[in-house]
Amino acid sequence: MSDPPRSEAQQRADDMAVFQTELARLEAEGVLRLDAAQQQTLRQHHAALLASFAVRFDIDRDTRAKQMSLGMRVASFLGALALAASVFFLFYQFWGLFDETVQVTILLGAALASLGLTLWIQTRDASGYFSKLAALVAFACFVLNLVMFGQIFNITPTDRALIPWGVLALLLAYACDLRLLLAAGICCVIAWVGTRVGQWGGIYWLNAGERPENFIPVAALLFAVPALFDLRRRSGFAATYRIFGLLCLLLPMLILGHWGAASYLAGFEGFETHNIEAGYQLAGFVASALTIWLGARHQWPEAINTGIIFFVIFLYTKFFNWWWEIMPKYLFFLLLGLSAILILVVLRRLRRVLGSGGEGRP
Amino acid sequence: VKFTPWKTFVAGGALILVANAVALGGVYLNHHGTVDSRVALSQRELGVGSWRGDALAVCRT
Repeated sequence: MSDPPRSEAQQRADDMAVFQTELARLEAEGVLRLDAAQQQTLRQHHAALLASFAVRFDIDRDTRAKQMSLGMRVASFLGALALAASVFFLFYQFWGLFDETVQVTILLGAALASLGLTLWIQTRDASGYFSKLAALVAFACFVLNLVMFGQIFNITPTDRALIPWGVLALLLAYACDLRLLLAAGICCVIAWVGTRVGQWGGIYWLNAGERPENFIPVAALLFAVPALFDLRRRSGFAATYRIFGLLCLLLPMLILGHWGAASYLAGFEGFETHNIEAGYQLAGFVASALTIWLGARHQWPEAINTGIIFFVIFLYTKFFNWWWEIMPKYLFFLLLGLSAILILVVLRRLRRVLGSGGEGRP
Repeated sequence: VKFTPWKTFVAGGALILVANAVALGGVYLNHHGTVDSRVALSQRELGVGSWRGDALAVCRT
């Protein structure tokens, strides 16, 4: 049997705690009572599993440990940011003292050494906090490596640098099971695909953001990744891909719904700016509603939440456009409150329908 | 794909080396060949910042 990943071990430990609590309740209510031998076997089995998980993965055994781990995650993230900033300013502080050859050696050496250090720490750190910290520093060192090359040798800025950055971030994310670096890698992919699409449309790569439609094609790519590859053994990876895919679809729609002049369609005859805006507003409503439906159907909570957030934003911006100028403010906010209640009622009904539809399923 | 630390280091190291080689190769090709023009800057031009306000101030003087 292969080793379960850390997330599965943590899930098993959580399930054991829930099982013990429910078993104690059932015993107190007189519904189920295990005899002494069964209790002993169960206790020993759980204790052995927890001990083995704790040695291999440094998992959280109880709620207190879980709360501590959240604090450690925050500390690890802040520490990584601080260390990356420290490396950056260290280079700047002493940069003028070195000639070009030494500068290149330092930049290349720092990128390679930080990568090696990350992988060395990973073999010794069961919790993953220190390897996460080191992985972020390794990524920062590599980004700094190419950025500083650009400054030292006056290289023309290019979007091609996003490719190795994205590949390294994804490599470290998969090797160390880190969602933060996965997000960094996905951001590089989004930026690169967006700039490429922009360049095909005749836009200089640094101005690709002026046409939000450039980022819509990458949404399909990101949404396809969890459908094409099995990511069940990587905790939260599929959800991260879907969230970024939805952001790449819904954010451009939100922007173009209020800034139609930025659309490619604005260059064609017969497409008035206000018609483009109306079209994107309608598309935004439909897309966010479809996202909620799709998330509910496939049990993707992150898709449901993203869909709801964007639906509400589309709705409230529309309310603002319609009524902010013509209505008394108390009436405007009353309508916002009433619409929030209506949304809650609809979602509760949806949850009930989905709940009854799911009954009896394994 | 199983990501062992050694395999990851080899892949990551190769990526870093290739990216550096491409960047430095581009620099070499760019600096290679004969110089066809030179611009001599005095201390005054070197002191001009990239911000437009500074440039305009220099133009006015």
